[in-house]
Amino acid sequence: MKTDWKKVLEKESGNKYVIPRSFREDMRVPGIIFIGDGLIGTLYDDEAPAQVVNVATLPGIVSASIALPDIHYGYGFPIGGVAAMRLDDGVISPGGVGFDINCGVRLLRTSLKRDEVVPKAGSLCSNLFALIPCGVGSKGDIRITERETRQVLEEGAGWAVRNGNGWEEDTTFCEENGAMRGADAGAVSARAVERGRPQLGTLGSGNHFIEVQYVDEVYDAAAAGALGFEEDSVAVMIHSGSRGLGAQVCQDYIGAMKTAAKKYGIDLPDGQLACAPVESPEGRRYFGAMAAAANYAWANRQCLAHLARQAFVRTFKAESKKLGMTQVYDVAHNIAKIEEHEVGGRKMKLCVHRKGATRAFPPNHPDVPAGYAAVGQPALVPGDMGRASYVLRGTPAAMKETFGSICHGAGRLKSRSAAKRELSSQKIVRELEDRGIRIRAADMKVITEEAPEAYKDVSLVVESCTGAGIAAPVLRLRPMAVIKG
Amino acid sequence: MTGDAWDMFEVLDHTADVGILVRADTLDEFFAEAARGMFSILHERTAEGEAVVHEIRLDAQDMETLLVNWLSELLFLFESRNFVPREFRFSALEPELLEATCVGTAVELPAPGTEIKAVTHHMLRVEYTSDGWEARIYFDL
Repeated sequence: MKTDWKKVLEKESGNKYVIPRSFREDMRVPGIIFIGDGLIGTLYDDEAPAQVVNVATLPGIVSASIALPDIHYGYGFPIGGVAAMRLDDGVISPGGVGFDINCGVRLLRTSLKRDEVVPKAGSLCSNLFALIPCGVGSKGDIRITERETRQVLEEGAGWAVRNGNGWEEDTTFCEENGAMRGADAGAVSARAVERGRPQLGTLGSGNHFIEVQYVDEVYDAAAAGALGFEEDSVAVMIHSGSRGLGAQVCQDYIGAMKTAAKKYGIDLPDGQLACAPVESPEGRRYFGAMAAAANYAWANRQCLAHLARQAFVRTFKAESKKLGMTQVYDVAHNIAKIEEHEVGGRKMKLCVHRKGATRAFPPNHPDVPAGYAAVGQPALVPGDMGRASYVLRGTPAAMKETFGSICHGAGRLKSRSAAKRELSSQKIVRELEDRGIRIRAADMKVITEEAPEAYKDVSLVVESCTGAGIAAPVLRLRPMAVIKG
Repeated sequence: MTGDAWDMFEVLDHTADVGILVRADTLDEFFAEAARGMFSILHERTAEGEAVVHEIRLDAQDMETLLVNWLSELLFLFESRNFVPREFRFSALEPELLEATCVGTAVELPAPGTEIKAVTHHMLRVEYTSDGWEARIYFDL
């Protein structure tokens, strides 16, 4: 039976809605969804709120099962969800991280201005497309052995830098400095390693992309300045993850966790929520494997950033250092982390699952790079290929409300097949070109599946977060050149 | 060995991903058809070329897990060996055990298709109805 969510969702304040614990008797905490008036309607006949409720039943969950404005229907956990569990009696779930472990976003700045790039956007787009392997079954030019793959799993982005794919300082401006503590390469299966070996430095397909963008609006000049941006600055945004390796880790551990959940007597409303106690041998092993896959993803985005720099070098016939292509930041949006948070006036360590949610820590947080202490952690929010992307920054309110998390993107509105039925790729390419956006894709079909119309308006998603106070806007970026897998 | 009918599965909508509804009279056809359904999404070209054979042996705690493991194994062979199957022979197929010989080709990649990251357990239930075996299988893209 379908639930009428309009009747269930209680508006607590501006952009904050609550599903009370009384809604279903197995809920341990309420569900909280941060969403603005312009988007709430998309939830009324969607089943994503039911997934928020299911997550609220998991053992050891603290405060609330939280969803952000880009919430949409996922597997087990909704996309755009945050769930923090106590370490002593809580669980860790591969479904709360997702298949693409450490899918995330990296942003590079350039010293170029929009009018310098516009005349060369076509050749820049071609060079990016030529250098960056993308599409179904694509393999990278980086050849690594099984042993080297296991090193990647332990060392993350640092491995890629050490092997000539970037600059020392890149890892400074990266969540976890590009290598998560607690990674256990030994917990990653041979299958996962075999899937990952040929894919290092590949973009993938679907919603993954590389975009050349320009700053079209600055909301906070001081913060933008600290990140090295002003109006018309050109940037490069990279969206990709841990490829087949991460998917295999998730697949392997969902199977193991189904068995573990039975063993520990955990009742699950949905098999995709399979989990084990955080401190159990199964839980620790998954955490070690997940952290290793996360490190692979950071190495992957590091290699992609290196290829993007080379494309600029080819196009502008200048060294990438001369082009000012330093790294702004790199965030994970599918991950579980052990973090310290204040709950009910008490500091406690928690296992925070972010599935389609971006960490956004406030100014002066110890995990924010020293250079950004006054600004707070840059939170990178990609939009669809036609509209815009945003750089936001963390606020103290996010620490209180969402365990320091905000939205991760626009969030899908239309299914891929609906988009393919209703839209034409040629028309989309034409419309984008009319607006000065060049696009290259490995498969034209992806252009319809990823059409702007298939997504929520990212601006409404971002406004839902800033309106709720959990993020502060820094600047908006518009696409100029788009590479899709 | 199953026939080459391609109409025993249909593609299902999911907000961010895609699924297939598979129906077949026998369990052999059902597993073969689930594989064909997955490859119809993954690889849109006809797989022609020298025959390659892969033997697969799997056990699982239940039929749903066996089905997920079967498709995951084929996905692994596609990603790591470029393998696209044409034909399946099952020497054992029970709710908890599968032994199959898969005949197909190693294709050129990248090729048009939709990348599947994983086979999910989302709402998965393998049922035997008056119309035969049936399941809805969702893929993470």
